[in-house]
Amino acid sequence: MRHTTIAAVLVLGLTGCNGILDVSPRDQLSDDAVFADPNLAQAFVNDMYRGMGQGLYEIMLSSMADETHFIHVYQTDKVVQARITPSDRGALDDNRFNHFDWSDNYTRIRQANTFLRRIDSTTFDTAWKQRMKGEAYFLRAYFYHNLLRMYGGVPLITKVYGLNEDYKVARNTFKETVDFIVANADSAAALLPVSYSAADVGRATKGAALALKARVLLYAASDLYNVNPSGQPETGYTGSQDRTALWRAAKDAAKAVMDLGVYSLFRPAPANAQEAAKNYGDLFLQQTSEEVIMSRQFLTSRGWSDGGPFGLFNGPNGYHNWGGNTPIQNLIDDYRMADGSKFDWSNPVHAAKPYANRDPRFYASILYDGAPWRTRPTDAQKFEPNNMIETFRALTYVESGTTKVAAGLDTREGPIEDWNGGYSGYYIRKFVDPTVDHQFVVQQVPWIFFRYAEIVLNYAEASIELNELGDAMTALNQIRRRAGMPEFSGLDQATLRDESRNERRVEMAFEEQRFFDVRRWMIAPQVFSKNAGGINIYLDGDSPTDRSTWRNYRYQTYDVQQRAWNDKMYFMPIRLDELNRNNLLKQNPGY
Amino acid sequence: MTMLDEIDTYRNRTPRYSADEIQKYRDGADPWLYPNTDWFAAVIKPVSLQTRASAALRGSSDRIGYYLSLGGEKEDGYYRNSATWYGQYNFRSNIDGQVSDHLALRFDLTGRLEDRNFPNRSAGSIYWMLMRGKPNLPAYWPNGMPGPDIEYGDNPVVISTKQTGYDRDQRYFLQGNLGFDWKVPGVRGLTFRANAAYDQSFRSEKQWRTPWTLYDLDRTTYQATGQVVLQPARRGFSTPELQQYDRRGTGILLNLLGEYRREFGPHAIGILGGVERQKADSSDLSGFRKGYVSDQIDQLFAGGDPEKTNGGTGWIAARQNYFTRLNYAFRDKYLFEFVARYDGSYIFPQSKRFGFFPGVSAGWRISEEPFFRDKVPLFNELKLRASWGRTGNDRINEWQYMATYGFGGGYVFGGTEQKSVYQTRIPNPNVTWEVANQVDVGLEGRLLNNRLSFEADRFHERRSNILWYRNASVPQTAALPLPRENIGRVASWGYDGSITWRQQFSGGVSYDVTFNGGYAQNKVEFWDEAPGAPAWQRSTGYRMCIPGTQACPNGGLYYQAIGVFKDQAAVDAYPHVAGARPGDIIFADIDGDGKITANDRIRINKTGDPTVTVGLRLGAQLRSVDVAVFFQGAFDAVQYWRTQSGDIGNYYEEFAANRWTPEHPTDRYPRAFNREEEYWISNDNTYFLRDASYIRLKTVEIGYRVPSRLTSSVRLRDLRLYASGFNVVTWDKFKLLDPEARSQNGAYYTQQRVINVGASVNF
Repeated sequence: MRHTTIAAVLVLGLTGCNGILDVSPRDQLSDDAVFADPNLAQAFVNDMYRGMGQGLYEIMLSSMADETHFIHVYQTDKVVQARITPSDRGALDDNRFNHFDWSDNYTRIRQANTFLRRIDSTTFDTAWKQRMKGEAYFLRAYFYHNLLRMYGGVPLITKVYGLNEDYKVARNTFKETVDFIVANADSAAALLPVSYSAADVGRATKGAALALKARVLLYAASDLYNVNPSGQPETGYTGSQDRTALWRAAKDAAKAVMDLGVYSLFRPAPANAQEAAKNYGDLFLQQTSEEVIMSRQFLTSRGWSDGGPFGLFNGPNGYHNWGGNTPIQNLIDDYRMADGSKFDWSNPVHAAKPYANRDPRFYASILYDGAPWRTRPTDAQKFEPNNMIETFRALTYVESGTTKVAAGLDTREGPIEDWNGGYSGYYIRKFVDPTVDHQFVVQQVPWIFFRYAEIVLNYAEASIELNELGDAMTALNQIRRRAGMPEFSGLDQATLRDESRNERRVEMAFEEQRFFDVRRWMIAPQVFSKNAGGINIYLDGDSPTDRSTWRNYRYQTYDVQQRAWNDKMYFMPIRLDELNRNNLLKQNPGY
Repeated sequence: MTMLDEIDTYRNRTPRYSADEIQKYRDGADPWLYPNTDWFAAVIKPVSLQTRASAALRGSSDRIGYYLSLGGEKEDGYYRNSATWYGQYNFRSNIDGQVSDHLALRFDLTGRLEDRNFPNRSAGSIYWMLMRGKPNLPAYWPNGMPGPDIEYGDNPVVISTKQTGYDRDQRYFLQGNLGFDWKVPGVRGLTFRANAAYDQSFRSEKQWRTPWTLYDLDRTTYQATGQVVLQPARRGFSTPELQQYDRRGTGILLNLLGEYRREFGPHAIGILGGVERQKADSSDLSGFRKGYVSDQIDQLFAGGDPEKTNGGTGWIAARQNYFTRLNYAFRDKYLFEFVARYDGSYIFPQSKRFGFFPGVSAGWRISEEPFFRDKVPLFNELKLRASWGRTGNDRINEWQYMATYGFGGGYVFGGTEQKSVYQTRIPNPNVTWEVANQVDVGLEGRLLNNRLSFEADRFHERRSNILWYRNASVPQTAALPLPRENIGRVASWGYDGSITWRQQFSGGVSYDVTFNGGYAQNKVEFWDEAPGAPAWQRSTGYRMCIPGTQACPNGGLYYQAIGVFKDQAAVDAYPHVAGARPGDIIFADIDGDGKITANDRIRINKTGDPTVTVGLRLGAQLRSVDVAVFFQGAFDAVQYWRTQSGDIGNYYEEFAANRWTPEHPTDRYPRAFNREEEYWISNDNTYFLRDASYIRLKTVEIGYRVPSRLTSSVRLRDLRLYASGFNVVTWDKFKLLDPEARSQNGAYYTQQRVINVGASVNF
């Protein structure tokens, strides 16, 4: 009997509770927990900021515009040669451009919609609720503005979908999308503070919301969306529009940011050209400043999780870095001379020393042959002991009777990691922290989403189009003064427009602006069809390491990459898979 | 180098190597300036050793039986001065006790230590550098110092050794079993069995990463004066760093079952029923510091404060099953069996937690039928059997029925990191077991005095309710973080069989031959494919090919390569990718629209998994000597090859020997390429898809049992000496890598050919 009792107990013990199967995850939170705790709700908003992306990834948007050439290709060639299709969008399908991607933005928009739907019913402190709502409105407007820039009018989703609903939805018109973004930006501006205490720097502010509004209104007033070559409502305005009213709205929106009185240009009055160059370079290395309206900070301790080491990605191969996005001659030629005149290869003074007496921003943005830079790594010092960039194609020198030819250390013919060498002869200097050894350390240089200089340029552009040239020149001259360049005066509308566009190109190089600017000004057929250029430099000397003997420099431009333009490229194609799922979507023209 | 020059010419640049530079490398006259390196020979030893030993003690008395064993093994890595090695030590102690006539107890305890050791660069990195190492770079300088790196500080002769520090991963497993068998007194044939198993595991991994030094030649000084000056450079890590990881895991398995077996005349019945419960959980902790001032003390306390970090998490799982089995046999001639399981898993929500999985089978021993025994005495045994069964699968991501939020990547505000949270999925409250229904029919038998035996089966399985994402048909504008839903269906079927011949002669001589083989194919019946793809690209109705898995890394869609453009005329004559030129691969224009687009890709209905597998075993015994040989073959699998070539690495010799050049144009082999710059490298196509079928002499073993008259004099009961080999010879069409490699670029730790010698001794 004893045995039977034991058996019975065992059976009961094992069968009794199926409750053993009621387990909860040890590493995840439930829905109710998140909106009951203000810290978790805040964390929910924090995650949305990740959707803003950043522009310091290994592939930069500038390599798909006339600013840089990406050495390792990674399918950027498909974009610059206008060969993308709805099935294959080249580098734009890379996850480093998720912040411009259809799918990713809608995921983030859903996060914003979920938050806005739940937040009103929570019991949190009212002021805090309002601020977080403001952040959600700003972020939603930001995500839609990236969709707008890439695709034009897109479906405006404000509801939160569940399972088993009807998901098919058509694209809203360009006008509806712009109005929606502006409305969200206004709601955000009403709820957000002007500034934050130190711990919350990086969150959306009233100024950020107004800056976003200013940018979107400027775009909406631009040629592409008003000329609207395809005539479709998704790609621009249809019917007659009052351009003047659009430009006025853009100018007023930029003025609203200026009138906050919170922002100003960083170090606006340099004493000389060297100081101007240094100030401009330093602006990007600050963790924050009076010019930054909104930026994203990085921590070295977070390693590659926010994008990775920009200095490693784009530094010269002679520093054991990866070359990456290399500036092209097209951009170099657009930097003016220090006296404000245009650079001209047919001018023998310019052609003999193309890197002398240029716009101070050139020296802060670009590493060129002969530019002084960081100490070389120990194994590179025997090749190049002067710590200056070497991108010459051929140095001819005589050694013990034989004529020898050496290539620059930072080229594809150099002895160190030649597959990481650039073709164009230039490397990016802007955003690179010169105090850090990029082989081993991830730098902490922030990515700026909005800065005051962009607002000033927006204001100037709108003023020019309204023919209010006095306002335009006052604004542009602030930028010129800070850059150490001579100020504008007495120019007519057409010339001032060209100068202001060039000013924007140079001031905001590599800041994810040019890709869109060229399109909205509709100068892409002229500008984006030019091949990417580089420089071949030849010189003579007596020794490969003693620069004092180097002489007789000859400069020759050449084509680094074939490029082409097709008008379909004004807008990006919606992926074929998405059109297959939702037949109410209309593809952009030309695809 | 000639090929790199060609790449330069194709891109309209001056070739980087001149003809007499290339000649100097060939001559090898000056190994300092013109090295010539065989990277594989420099890094990989021709032979690596492994040792294995075990001892066991077994005995029993009237009431107690025991078995004790101890064993250990050590295996060296392939590299010279290898930091990679594996050690394993295990013990086992089993005690069986007969407590009374009815009750037997057993207590088993086993433990082992798995000791894994690696350098601080992975095998993938080492092999990647080996594949890329160009022969004109030095591995070692002629004076023995290591040469410069290929990239990232990686020189494979250095990163495979202890110079990178160490990565030591020690895992302890302790498993105990306590159980009883109780024959119920008074009820003949009724037994209860119970077992409790308790497992505890500990894992402790310590990665001590130290920078290493590589050397580069000061060419200017050497060329000027002939003096050798090597510049050292510290590579790899900027300072020593330490990462430690500790994990504890527990598993408990309890089961109880009762069985009743009885024979009543010609009927034999068996009834079995039981219950089983399983619970497992784990937790782990990790810590990291860097900035060590010296590499002498490899402990966390000695590390720097900046960037130190820690982490930890936990996990839990539970399952409960009820099962039964009923057997009936009539005259041992007609056999029936019914099994059923009622399984519950923590993975599913309460209302969907349990699944019922029955199965039936029947067998007919035709050879026991009187008419058969008389008429066809040839067969000693002939049995026909058939079965149908249903099983369930719960091995999917957990928590699909809960609306959960997880911690995201975080964001930096005000110079400090803040946590972020996001919704990981919308719940699917209906998620439940995946179900597989399997039907099998088989025939087995023995003839000719049991000398010839065979077995053949035909099976068909349909898996349904497969948990899959419905995101192929939900638009991205809805942005649903979809749960898995039970919507997928896959069918698989095939044949399986073996045939054996055994023959015995007098005097201890015998031999046997066994051939076995199988064919297995599968097809996706439904998995929410995006509508709108062209018919020749659809995956529904074809072999299952999940993109990103080892068997199907490219997703199964390829451009069809139909040759190479021999000259410009060939390019102009056929639709081609914009910018194609002579020496490029021709893609077929499948949809005939005159353009090469994504719709011209076709689905290749083969994956890395073979459909036909065969084996052949030959064994023989000649008195004291025994020999066994086993061949294995697999057919109808494909493997894609894609090397990192050009500026960044090498080409296969076969590719280089046959390639198109302007001087030797061909319409079969493409020209030299750099990395992914050609459209026929960046787009998967059938040129690089090769048949991975093979036949391999898998094992060979020869043993010699020392005659007992010799062994008994040394008090040994039994002594057998043996030599064996594994993976001895392979015949295949793939040629470039091991056909079982599943690696596109060769950057993986290769399979081994092993030759063993050993002895087994009984006292």
